[in-house]
This record gives sequence, structure tokens and C-alpha cells, in this order.
Amino acid sequence: MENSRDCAHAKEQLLEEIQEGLSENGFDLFIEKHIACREELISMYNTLRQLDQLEMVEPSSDMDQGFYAKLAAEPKQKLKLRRSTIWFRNIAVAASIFMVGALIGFYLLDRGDHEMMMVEDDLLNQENIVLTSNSSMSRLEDISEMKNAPKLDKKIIEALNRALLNDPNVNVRLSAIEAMLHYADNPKVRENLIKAIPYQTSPIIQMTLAEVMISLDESESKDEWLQLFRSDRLEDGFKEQLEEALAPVMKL
Amino acid sequence: MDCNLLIMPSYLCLYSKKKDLQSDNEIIQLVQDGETGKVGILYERHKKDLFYYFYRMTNDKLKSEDLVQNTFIKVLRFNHHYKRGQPFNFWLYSIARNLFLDSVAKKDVLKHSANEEALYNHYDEDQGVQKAMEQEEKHQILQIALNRLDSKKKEAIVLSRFQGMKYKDIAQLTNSTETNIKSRIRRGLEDLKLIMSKLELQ
Repeated sequence: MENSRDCAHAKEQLLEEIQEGLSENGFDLFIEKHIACREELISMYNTLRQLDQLEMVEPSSDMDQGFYAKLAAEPKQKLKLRRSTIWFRNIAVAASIFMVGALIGFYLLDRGDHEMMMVEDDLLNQENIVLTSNSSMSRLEDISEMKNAPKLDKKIIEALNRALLNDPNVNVRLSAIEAMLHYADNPKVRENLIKAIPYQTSPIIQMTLAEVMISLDESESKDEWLQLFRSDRLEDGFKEQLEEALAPVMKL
Repeated sequence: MDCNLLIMPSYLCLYSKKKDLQSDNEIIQLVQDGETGKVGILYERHKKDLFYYFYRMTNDKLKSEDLVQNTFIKVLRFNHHYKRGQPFNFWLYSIARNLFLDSVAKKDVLKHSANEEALYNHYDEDQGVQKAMEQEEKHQILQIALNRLDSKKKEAIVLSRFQGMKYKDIAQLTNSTETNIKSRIRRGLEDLKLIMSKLELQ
């Protein structure tokens, strides 16, 4: 027969079992094994169940506004633009492709076989790159592929721009900005980044675009920011912080 | 991951649904690289779970919202303290817990609650309303009992039951042992039952 000390031990054992995923049947079996502690175990189990039914208060939208206002007020860090390393990597990738291409070329010439010319990725071979996958993960992968493409072309520029303007997922839009930042030395990419500003409604995207513009010292974005400020796309309280953060760009 | 709410109430289930995106560890590393705006993604992912944690601990909505905001501002300011490879969630809760303990040191947030006021000001009306009120009253009693619990026991219950943390993680977070944590939860549940019985008699 278990005494109160043993019941304490049985209760802690039950807690462990619950954390491991104890089922209702498992609970009944556990009770059978510890019959002397039955009442205490049931009581504890019921208290846990009551806790699970406890209603939860939801945070208000003020929490988001307050957070983004505080975030905007934080001192800005210069973004570490990785274009220089990307160039280095692209040169390395290009060199590898050249070497592999040359070897394949010699091999094919030697065999007189022209079937196998080049293995390129399907996505980058499409006439127009359209990110249609329902999975945000796939769209993120597509953007990553575009970011790592050996050569920037019109299709990639357009696809990234469409993702930034239209994708429903904020992570995909952020990835599009990140990819565009890698190509920020291209005038069309810079223009698309600027033109996207007035259409953004998410504070994260607005903040990221602000950081990009500050990092790029992009004074051309002034009119687009003013357009955004005049619209109702900014959350209350966030507007002032964003204006303050963008002061260096707006003064240029 | 199986979302059995009896075992892992909210945090782990939510996390499993988000795992197809960029991981928290990858994002905090981008923040370390200077992409500070990405703290917003971490905020969006964890704000609700952290709010629930703070709310269970303080029973104060405004204070909890403030604590959530400040936790992520600390994530931004002290991102260089994050060690690559360390579980982000553990690091996040270390910051959150320290902020909570600081707030308790400044003011006893557990002392007073609106629910308690409502319970004591409650008076019986007709029978139809009575039943609904009984259920509501039960929840209020449980919330009050939770507020009155010793803070260490309450913390162990909140972290395990509501935040879905494993005992060994709670032990690490609170500088304790797994055995102590299990014992705290067991004694906390016993105390909870006792406090509720006393409140029901009032």
C-alpha cells in the first residue's frame, strides 16, 4: 500500500508520463497501478485539465504599434551589404562553370555528341518566372535560387519585383527585398525597390525598406516615402518614428 | 510533430507549424549581421507565446504587452550575446524571464488583479444567469489561485503547462534541477487545489 510519500512520487511520475504524451487509456492504467493514490492522482489530473481550459486574454494591437515604434527608435546599424562577397562568389562560381563547361565541351567535341549542352535550372529557364507555388517555402526557395543566379536578367528583376509587391507572405516579401539588395547595383532593381515603398502595409517591410534606403543613401526615394506618409498604410505612432529614422534620406 | 494539447499546449505546436520557414537561429544571425529589421519576424513569431507567458505570470495585460515589447528590444540590443547554435527559444526565454523578475522586483505584480475585484463584488442574480456565472467564477477562482501561488511553483507550472517546456529546459532556465522542477509542479498543483477550495468557501 502506498503512503502519502509514495503518492508524491506517483504524482511526479504521472507528470512525467503526461509530458511524454500519456493518453486517457494510459492514465486509467496508471491509476490501476497506483490504486492507493487514486483520488490524489485524479485530483491532480483534473487540476491540470482545468488549467488547460483557462481562458486566455489576447494582446491588443497596441502591443504591435508600441513595439514597432520602439524598434524604429532604436539606433540604426549599417546593413552589411554583401555585394562585394557576392561578386567574389560569383567570380568563383563563374570560374567553376567555365572549367566544367570547358571540360564538357572538350568531351562533347571529342565524341561529336551535341545532345548534352548545358544543365540549367528549370526555374531560371522559364520564359517568365512566376512564383505560383502555394507553399511559402517553395517560393522562398525560388527567390533564393534567383538570388544565386549566375547572371541577373530582366526575368529575375520582374519576378522579384512581383514578389515584393504581391506576395501574401511577409517572409517571401522580405526575402525578395534581400535578393534585390544583392542586386542593388542594378538601376532597375533600385528603381523597383523605391517604387514599391508606397504600396507596403506591413510595418516590418516598411522598416526594412527604410533600412535599405538609409544604407543605400537613396535620396530618390523621398517622393515615395512622402506618398506613403500621406496614405493610410502606416500604423499610428509608427509614422513619426519612421519619419525620424528616415531623416537622413529625406534631407538629401 | 503531434500537437497533443495536454502535453504541449501552445508553443511547440505553433513552432511546428512555422518550421517550414527560415529558422529563428538563421534570422537572429541575420540580425547579428546588421539586418535589424528582421527582429520583427522573430517578434511576429513569438509575440503571442511570450504574451501568454507574461500574462500568466502577471495577470496584467498592459504590463505583459510592455514586457513583450521590451523583450524583443533587448533581443535587438543584445543580439551579439546570442551564441550561434544555441536554441533561440531558450535564449529568448532567458531574456523574458529576467525582464519579468526585474519587473517583480520593482513592484509586486502578483498582488492585485481585476478578476479578484470582480469575484469579490459578485452577487447572485436569477438562476439562468447563475449557471453561466458559475463557470466564469470557476475560471476566475482558478486564475486567482494561480496568482496566489508561490512564484517559483507558479513559474514551473506556467512554463511546463502553458509554454510547453520540458522539465530539463525549465531546470536549465531557472538554474535548478529536473527533480526540483517536478516537485515544484506537483506541490504547486496541490497548493492550487487548496487555494481554490478556500476561495470556493468564501
